[in-house]
Formats: sequence, structure tokens, C-alpha cells
Amino acid sequence: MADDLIPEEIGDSETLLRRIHRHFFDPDSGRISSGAFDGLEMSVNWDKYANAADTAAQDLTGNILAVVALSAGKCRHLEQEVQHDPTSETAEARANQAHSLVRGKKSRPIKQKLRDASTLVWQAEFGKTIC
Amino acid sequence: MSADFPLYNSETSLSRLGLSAELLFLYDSKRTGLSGRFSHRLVELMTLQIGWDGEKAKSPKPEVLARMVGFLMFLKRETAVFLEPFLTPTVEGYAQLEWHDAQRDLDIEATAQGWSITGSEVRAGQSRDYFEADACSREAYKIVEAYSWFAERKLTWPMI
Repeated sequence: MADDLIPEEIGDSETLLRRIHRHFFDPDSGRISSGAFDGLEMSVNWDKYANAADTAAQDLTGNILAVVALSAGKCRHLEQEVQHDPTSETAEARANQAHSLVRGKKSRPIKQKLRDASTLVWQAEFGKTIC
Repeated sequence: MSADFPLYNSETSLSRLGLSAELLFLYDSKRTGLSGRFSHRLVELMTLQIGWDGEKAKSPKPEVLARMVGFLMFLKRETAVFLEPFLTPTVEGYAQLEWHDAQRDLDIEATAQGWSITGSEVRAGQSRDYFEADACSREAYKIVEAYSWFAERKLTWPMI
């Protein structure tokens, strides 16, 4: 967590943005893999401080195909904690005031439910925000 | 089933050397019966480095990918309808097979203990039902039953 950025409370009605790596996007079905919603601490951006295009642009590998939106309340309903976790500038990355964590054990059904609760808001082929 | 497994021990070192052409030969579609596209995908996953997701993802374990290939070869031989799945890595260094259509999703994840199976189905009113099961490495029949639920449009999730 950044020393100079103070974490805030994220309300249930707030929106979180998650980058989707190309390995998690099935081009045949157009479906996103539940594997994209994994990890005890899943990094997301709070849309109060970064929009979908900003979120996609933070990845420098060129492997991001999409950005999806999740509601903080829905994450909490799925036994997850949502915490604002702003990060400081490092040698590899800029400071990110939007950075937040969806923290908690993600069982197989939880990963599927997070996937099903997400909404596609940005796609690389269009390079623009969808809605 | 085990006789059909590709020799994955050698791939571990090949992967580290970046010899994807050799990996492609080992997992050639003529050997596995799977599509060339799937073989390419497999090799791509096999050569992923730590942090491939831009965060902290582990590289998929070669033996896990080999187990997936062995299982798919078995599935293709043993089932009337074979649908090739989408293969995806997990951030924990494993991999999963996925089948999707408008009504149903089936994910089969290789784990340290065996397999983890999750299905979901859209019900009336667009709500979804979720199902899950675990299978040890000797319980391939459970995965075949879950696969049949998806591929053969069985009415109910199997009791596995």
C-alpha cells in the first residue's frame, strides 16, 4: 500500500474494473474463463480513480484483450472482502490510486459466479469503452 | 490410458530451453488426435514464464498439461461426441479445460489432488444453477459423466 495515498472505504454500489488477459478469453465462444477471477488477492481498479481504458493501458505487456466491471457489493455477496489498496510508484509501474483488492478464497463456483457477475466494458479490438 | 500419455518429463527441460518447435512435435496433432490449433495452444501454455499475466501467475506445470492431453485422448476415444475444449492456464500453475454454450458452462480444472469439476446452467428467468464435484486421478469416469452432461445435453447434473 502506498504511504502517501490514503485508502478509502469502497461502498457496495461502487464499480471495480478487472483486466482480462488474452489467455482467459475463448475466441470461439466469446466467453471469459473463470480462471480470470482467481487468487487470494485479486487486483482490480476502483472506477472512482481509473476508467476502463486507463485500466487496460496500465498493462504494458500488450496481452490484455478486455476489461470487465464488477460491483463491489456483488463481490462481498460472494464471500469476498473489497479493499482500496493504492500503490506507490515503483521502478516498474506508476502509482495507482485506483488499485484495490478483492480478497478471499475463490472456490470453483465462486470464480464462475464472479465471471457471471462481470460485465464487459472494454475490448482491445475496438480499443474503446463499450458503455 | 497411461500408455497414451506423452512423455512430459523431457518437456520440462525443453520448455526451459525455449524449444517450442520440439514441444510442438511432441504434441503433434497426429500423435494426440487433437487439432493443430489445440497443439499450438498447448505449447504456448507450456512456455509461459512466471508472471505471464502481468502479475504473479505461476507457469503451468508441464505434467499437468500432459495429464490434460492424456485425458482428452481418453475422452475422444471413449465418447460418442467429442467437443474440443478451450484450454486455459490458472494463476496457481495448473490448467483447466472449458466448454461453453449459450445455456451451460463446464470447467474441469487439474489440481494437485486430481480434478475439480464445476458446471453451471441458465434456468428460467436467466438465473443460474451451479454444480461442483471433485475427482481423484483414478476417477476419470466422473469427468466423463460431467462432460456427457454438457456434450449430450443430459437433463440433470450427474450424481458424482
